[in-house]
Amino acid sequence: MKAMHLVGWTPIRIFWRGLEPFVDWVLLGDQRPTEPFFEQTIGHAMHLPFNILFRQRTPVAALKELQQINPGVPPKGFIFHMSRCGSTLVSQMLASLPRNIVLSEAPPIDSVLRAYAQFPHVTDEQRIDWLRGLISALGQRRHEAEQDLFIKFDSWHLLDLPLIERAFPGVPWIFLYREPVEVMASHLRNRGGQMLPGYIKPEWLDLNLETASRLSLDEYCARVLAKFCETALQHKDVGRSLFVNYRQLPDIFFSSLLDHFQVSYTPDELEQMRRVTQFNAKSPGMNFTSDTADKQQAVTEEIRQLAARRVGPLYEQLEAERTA
Amino acid sequence: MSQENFEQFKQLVLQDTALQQQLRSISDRDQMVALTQRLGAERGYSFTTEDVWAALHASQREWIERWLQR
Repeated sequence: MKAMHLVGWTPIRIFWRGLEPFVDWVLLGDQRPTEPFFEQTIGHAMHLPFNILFRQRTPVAALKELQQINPGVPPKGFIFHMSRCGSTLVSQMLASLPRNIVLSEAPPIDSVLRAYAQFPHVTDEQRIDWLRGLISALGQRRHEAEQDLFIKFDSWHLLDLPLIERAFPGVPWIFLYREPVEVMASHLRNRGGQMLPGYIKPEWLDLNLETASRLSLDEYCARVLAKFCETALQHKDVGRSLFVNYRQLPDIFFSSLLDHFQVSYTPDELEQMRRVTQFNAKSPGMNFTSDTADKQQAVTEEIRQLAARRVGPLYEQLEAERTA
Repeated sequence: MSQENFEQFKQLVLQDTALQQQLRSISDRDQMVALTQRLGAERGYSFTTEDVWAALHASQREWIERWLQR
């Protein structure tokens, strides 16, 4: 398959056969990835029998070949977050404009960044190479209006921020965070995969799989959140960073965040983005209602103490940095 | 043999954007399978609708099982 035949096709999956990575591609056609998560965009695409029957498969090298003949829109901004803290709202506001391509927690990006988990032989240089090719392919312009590409990463990708910065130097990034007890309350209600031992490298938490598995899930969750906050603080000078507290949303989006990403919009576009804030970002069919009080009340005293002891000091440091 | 013919037709489709657009526009599986068979036959590829269904089901199964193959 020649790269020219991949123009307009979207990589939806990276997987391994033996020690070699491959890519599955489908035709999204006119479909813009406006769903809260890219996984949902893939799900819609796979409802079409064409994409089941004619899904095509290439070696991972095809990503770079396509990049050379049809480079995608370069990234304009990156969104990192500690999870459950408003990042989907930010990505949905950006995605509401036809001029923006927004990739929200795209599984193929995760497959590249976490390739080391199954395949320790994979080098950082390979991951950088694949990441550039993949994001270029995902950022192909399929509509005339599309000008800018934004990527919301999975929460644990923050740990790879230096590698992402090497792949895309100078792209402005934000780190979203929230009062730790509220984030823990959200995971208590519906625990994310990253909060289960083994999903991210235990070594990142100064643990091994055995010691990680012996911790209570709440203790483990607090340590993961602490690591995310600590990593954001460590890397604050890498590239151009901005720390954003959940409490500042949505106003900060209009007052600082757009400037940080070096974009400006018309009054109509701003109004269009403001309308998004009326709805639940993860379930746009529902109106938004604040759950801060519910989350504060939902946690046990033990979780409150865990959040305060493990994450609290780092949260305060983030606040100090943000308000400095 | 006819499944090989279908695979050859599939490779043709992947290089032909007009065929892609024609086939992609179909959301009904029965219609899609019938159109695939007809377009293949018009271009000299001999395979049956059963071959297309078999390919569709195999591909669907593989997609569903992707979580087991990561």
